Amino acid sequence: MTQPPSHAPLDDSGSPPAENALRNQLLRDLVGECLSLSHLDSVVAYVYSDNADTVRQARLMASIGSLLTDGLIVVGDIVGGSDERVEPWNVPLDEVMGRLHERYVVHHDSWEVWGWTTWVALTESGQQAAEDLQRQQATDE
Amino acid sequence: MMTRRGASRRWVSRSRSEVAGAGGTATPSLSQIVNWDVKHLEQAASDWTMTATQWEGHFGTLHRATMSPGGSAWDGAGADAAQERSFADLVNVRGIADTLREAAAIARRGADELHYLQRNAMSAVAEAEEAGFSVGEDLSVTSRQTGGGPLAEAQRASLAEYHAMNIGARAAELGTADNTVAATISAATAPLSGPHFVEAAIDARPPHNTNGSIQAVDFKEGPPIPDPGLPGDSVGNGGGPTATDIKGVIDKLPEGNKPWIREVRTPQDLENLWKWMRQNGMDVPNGYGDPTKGSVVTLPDGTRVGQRVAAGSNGQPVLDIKLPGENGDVKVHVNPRGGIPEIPPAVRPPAVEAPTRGTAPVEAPPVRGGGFGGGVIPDGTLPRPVHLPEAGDPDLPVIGDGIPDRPDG
Repeated sequence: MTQPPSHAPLDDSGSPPAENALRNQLLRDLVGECLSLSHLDSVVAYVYSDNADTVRQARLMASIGSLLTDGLIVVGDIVGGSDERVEPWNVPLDEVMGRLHERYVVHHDSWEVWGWTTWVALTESGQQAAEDLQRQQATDE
Repeated sequence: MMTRRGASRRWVSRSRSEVAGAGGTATPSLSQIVNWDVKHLEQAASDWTMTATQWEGHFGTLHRATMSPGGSAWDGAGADAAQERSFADLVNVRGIADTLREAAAIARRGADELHYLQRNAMSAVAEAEEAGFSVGEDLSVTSRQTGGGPLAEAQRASLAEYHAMNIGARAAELGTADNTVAATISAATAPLSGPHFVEAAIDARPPHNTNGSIQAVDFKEGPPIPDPGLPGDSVGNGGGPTATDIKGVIDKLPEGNKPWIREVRTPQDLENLWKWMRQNGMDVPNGYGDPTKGSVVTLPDGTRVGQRVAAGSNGQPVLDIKLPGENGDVKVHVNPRGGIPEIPPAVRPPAVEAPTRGTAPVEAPPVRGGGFGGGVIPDGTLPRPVHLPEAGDPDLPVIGDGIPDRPDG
């Protein structure tokens, strides 16, 4: 639980992991899952433990923005328990990013504002991209 | 966010300055933070718990006595009426006792939370002072150093701004929590504000034997009995788990299809785990954005636990757990292949039996003060318990003691 293999530092070389690696990590983690912003934040905090909070926030915001722009994820409210799904905020991309920035960056010290109130899930395209990524990873290994 | 007052080296968070201008009741001042006291909450929690136990004990004793006063069977219309009444009172008092225990739990959690937030605010003040700044009564931050040129002054101003914002935010958290605790206790004790015992005409004539008799007794009030607490339990957690305790239990559960998913065997296991984890928690309003989606609590050490409800009939609740400093949150699902959470036994010993002869019943003391702005528990919101019969009062008739009652009762 505390250090799952999939959350090991992204770059074995010890150099700062590329932004693309975080994006791919999020895609893989989201397969069949709804993940809270709290979860993503703590993953980024672990992976980029040497970075300042503001840098980590920027990295996660950039990755989420990239995945949203490509239509691979949705951001919204959680619905359900074991039958969970993310109910996307039905607003333009700019507004989604603005809302995320307001919650996660502006009110970062108030976990209650963003931790489990903001959730992410894959779209169908995202599911396909994540599976392709997993296949590619298996081939490389 | 920040304003610079008077001299160019004094900073205060805007929230603090605005609030202070409005009367200073929402954000505490420095002296209020330093002198913050939650003992009144801890005392109230202890007294309420003890009171609840004593009520149940006394009314249970009375009910048993009406069934067989002096060890003899008591039949007839008078017996039926007395037994029915004593049973109704027993049921009634159990409901009140449950409410009182719930209020006690809220008070204890509130004390923990406020204590924790006070320490947070004090740490922020200490951090600023260690960095060479003075913190004023209004939480303004002023550099103790001067000179060094424009660059050094700009750096000090930047640091002062940071410290003022940090202190202001933590002080505001403390003030907000104080209000929340007060409101929660008010809501929890609201059911106790009305009458609970309906006086009905009862034919409580004594049984026709010479061994004893029955008579209504006066309710007397005794002094509060302090709860001695638990050794090593300085914050009064009373057996609730910490992040380490929770991690110890969660880590033993089988992993699901993701590293951060753990599985328990049955919905009851999930419920048991949830109840155990949330014991010392402070409710996080709208923790999932909507109260219908589930509930979230924050434990004193910063751990968050939540229970999400299923959306459809085929779903099951899910627990979310956020342990401070851990990599990723944890979800707990129900799955027949799952494990049984090894919840450790409570640290706090079970409630003691109601005291016997000579021990006076307790009324919950009026708790006031503490915090700031008039105290954390508003007047008029405390339970007004029914005074209990004085079991050891020699002037009272005792069923089956063989001593004839005085004619004037």
